[in-house]
Amino acid sequence: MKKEPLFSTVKEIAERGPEDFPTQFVPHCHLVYSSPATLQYNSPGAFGFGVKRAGLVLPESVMLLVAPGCCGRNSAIVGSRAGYCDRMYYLQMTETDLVTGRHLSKIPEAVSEICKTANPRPKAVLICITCVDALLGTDLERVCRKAEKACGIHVVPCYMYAITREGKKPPMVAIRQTLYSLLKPAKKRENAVNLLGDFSPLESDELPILLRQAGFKKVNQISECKTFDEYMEMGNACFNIVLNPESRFAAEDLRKRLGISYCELARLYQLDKIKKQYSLFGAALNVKLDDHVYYEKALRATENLIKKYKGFSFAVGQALNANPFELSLALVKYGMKVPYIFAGFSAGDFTYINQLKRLSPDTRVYSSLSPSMINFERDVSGIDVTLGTDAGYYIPKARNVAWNSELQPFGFSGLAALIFEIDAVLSQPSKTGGIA
Amino acid sequence: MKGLYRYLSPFAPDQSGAVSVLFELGGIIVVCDAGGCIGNICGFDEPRWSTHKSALFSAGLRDMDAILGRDDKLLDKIADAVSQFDCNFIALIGTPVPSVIGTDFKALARVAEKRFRLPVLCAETTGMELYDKGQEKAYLSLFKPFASDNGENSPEIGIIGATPLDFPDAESGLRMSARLQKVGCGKAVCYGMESGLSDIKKAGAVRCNLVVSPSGIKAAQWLKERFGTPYVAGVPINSKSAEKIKIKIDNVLAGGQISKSSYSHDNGGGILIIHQQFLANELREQLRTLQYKGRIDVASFFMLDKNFSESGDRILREENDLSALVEAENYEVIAGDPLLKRAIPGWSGDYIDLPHYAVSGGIYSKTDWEKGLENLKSRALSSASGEGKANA
Repeated sequence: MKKEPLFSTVKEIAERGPEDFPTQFVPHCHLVYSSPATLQYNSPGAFGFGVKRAGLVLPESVMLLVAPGCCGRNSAIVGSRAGYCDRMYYLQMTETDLVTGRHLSKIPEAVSEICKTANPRPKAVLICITCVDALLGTDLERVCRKAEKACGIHVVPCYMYAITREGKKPPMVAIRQTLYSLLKPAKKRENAVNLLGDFSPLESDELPILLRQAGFKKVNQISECKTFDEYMEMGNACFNIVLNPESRFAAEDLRKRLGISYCELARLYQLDKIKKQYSLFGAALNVKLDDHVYYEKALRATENLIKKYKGFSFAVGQALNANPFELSLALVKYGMKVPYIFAGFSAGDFTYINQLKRLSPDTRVYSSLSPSMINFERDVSGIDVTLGTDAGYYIPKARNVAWNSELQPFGFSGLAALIFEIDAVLSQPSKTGGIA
Repeated sequence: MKGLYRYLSPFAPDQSGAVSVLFELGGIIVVCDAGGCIGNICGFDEPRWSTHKSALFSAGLRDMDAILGRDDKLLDKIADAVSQFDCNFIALIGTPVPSVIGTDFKALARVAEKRFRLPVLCAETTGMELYDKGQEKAYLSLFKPFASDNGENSPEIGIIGATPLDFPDAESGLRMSARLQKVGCGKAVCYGMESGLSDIKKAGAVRCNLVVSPSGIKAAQWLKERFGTPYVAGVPINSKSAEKIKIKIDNVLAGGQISKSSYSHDNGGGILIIHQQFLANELREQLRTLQYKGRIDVASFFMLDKNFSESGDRILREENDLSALVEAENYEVIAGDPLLKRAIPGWSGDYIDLPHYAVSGGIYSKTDWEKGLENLKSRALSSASGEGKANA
């Protein structure tokens, strides 16, 4: 008997609610299928930023990975490709280290040797440990203090604990907190604000310009800091804006330690919601943000999308710069069809799922991580565009917009840029030679 | 400092090696990790991952699974997967997490076998050893339960020790089999590369095994003890080497012994080849046929079997071992993976890029390998004709 991949419709998911996820959407309830679509889940460093590359966003830093060899394997390849291999050092653990914990006593000496030989001399050394030390209960902070004292340099603990992936502080949340952990209490500059989002800058200057309108002369992003001193100036900011939910923990930590308050702005693709978010944000700051230039551009782009492609079918994955459910909702609102979504979800996504239930109840939602996905036949037809590399993997016949650039799209400009890319791939001759 | 890597990054670990042996055999492969290990295996060590479908899963271990030792939960997860598609066997692959918590893989395999009525293999890898060690464990775990001498239409030659981690690409096994067949060895099968579990089951019926990397030696020895199948070592990288291997096979089948050749060489200079040992040995043979008179040494960060080594050959255990060797021996040419060059920044001889997948993954292609091989031969030829010294 032919076996089928498991899926749930949006309607079923909405009706079951956030307290009752179908098990294929709960990763710890099943084996995790390793298809090319799940690479970013299984190895966050494969594309974009994993813990190691993210840690090295700290300017003038190097990283020492203290771990079994397998944990650093991807750095051999990604490090060469992304150009950070010169800033990575490895202290490889053996089974004896596991039993005796002696690897920890080697760390100060290793840091000292790195400081002596690295050129230029780093301003900070991040010590990264992995699952085995999580299980051994290693007190890395103490080890780092010791190394810091011995070497006279900032030594920062950093955790790549894959086994806590579904816990309160998964690795990509923890590394964001680590990145800002060196900031010290400082006199506040009323006109300085930090953007806490991803590890590379925003693609457009829309948000920084709007913030300058609101009186913020200095808009900091860690990925744009060239020097360690410049990074330290982020401690002067009077306000943090969280652009990625994974930065919430870091923002809360900065609020507690440095007294920097924060708010959150979501990356959205629904034109009216972007407008509303800016409006509410401006009201909170007691200014009116003049966003009409950006709004008009995005409005024209959506009108163009609707005019040319209304009724087209999209499949949306999760390996992309968007919340797949919010993006699907936006597309459906623009008159598109979304028969497939390849993504997991959390309780927070029900805002969008409940709206999708009204507009597109039969949309099938697949979890790329479910073992049943090995049965997914990659011959689906009738889809015009796939969004995300994972959706592109499952439906290779459709044209793909990867939408996963390292520069981060945001706001009206992000929406307009996405539509531009969709238009670009749909305007190209199709595989069969015609125009889509 | 011992253990500190300043220039090199980690090589393919044992768990990747184990998966590379089992990948094409139609089993459910469960990597007992939290997710990161399998990401590295698939994304960086297994080129077939994007072209061949394989039931490769992460156990998705979480902290409480490890702390509480929830093997029963793992078995439930496997049961769920087994219900969703047909498979030949289940393989459990170790990683650092089970190594820390002391998972009893053998017991787990026995329980799983009873519950699922399927053969269950385990490769007790730890993520702390290198890929060839994992391959060695996987070959043994495969042949011991499955190999028999009741093979109808069994091939003449079994090739052990070839995976994409050892050779230029995923088709290397097919090419080696074809070369052997072409020189009259009969049908050859490369275990784990373009072959299936049915071939493993007939392994006791082949006439002779050819071991193409050190990771296959233990399995070949076991097959010899169990079924009396003789084995020889070598790599048929072209028709000439295939012909030489045929002579070795004929000799061993006739009851002869393989004698070790001895070579004399000029003093000074010389070539160092850094790769998996048997491939490096084969390249050394090729260079000698080009009348290169200098010393040719083999070094490897991986297994180096003494029975197949010459006096100048070295095993490299640390990054510093390479710089120390190069400094002491004054080689004029080094051939090895391009990433290894980083470990000898002050060395000024000719470095010839000879990619090794277990070192640099998919950064380089088969074409880069072929180019490297040609460069190495040209360099040896020019040295043989005296140009090399002039150039140097």
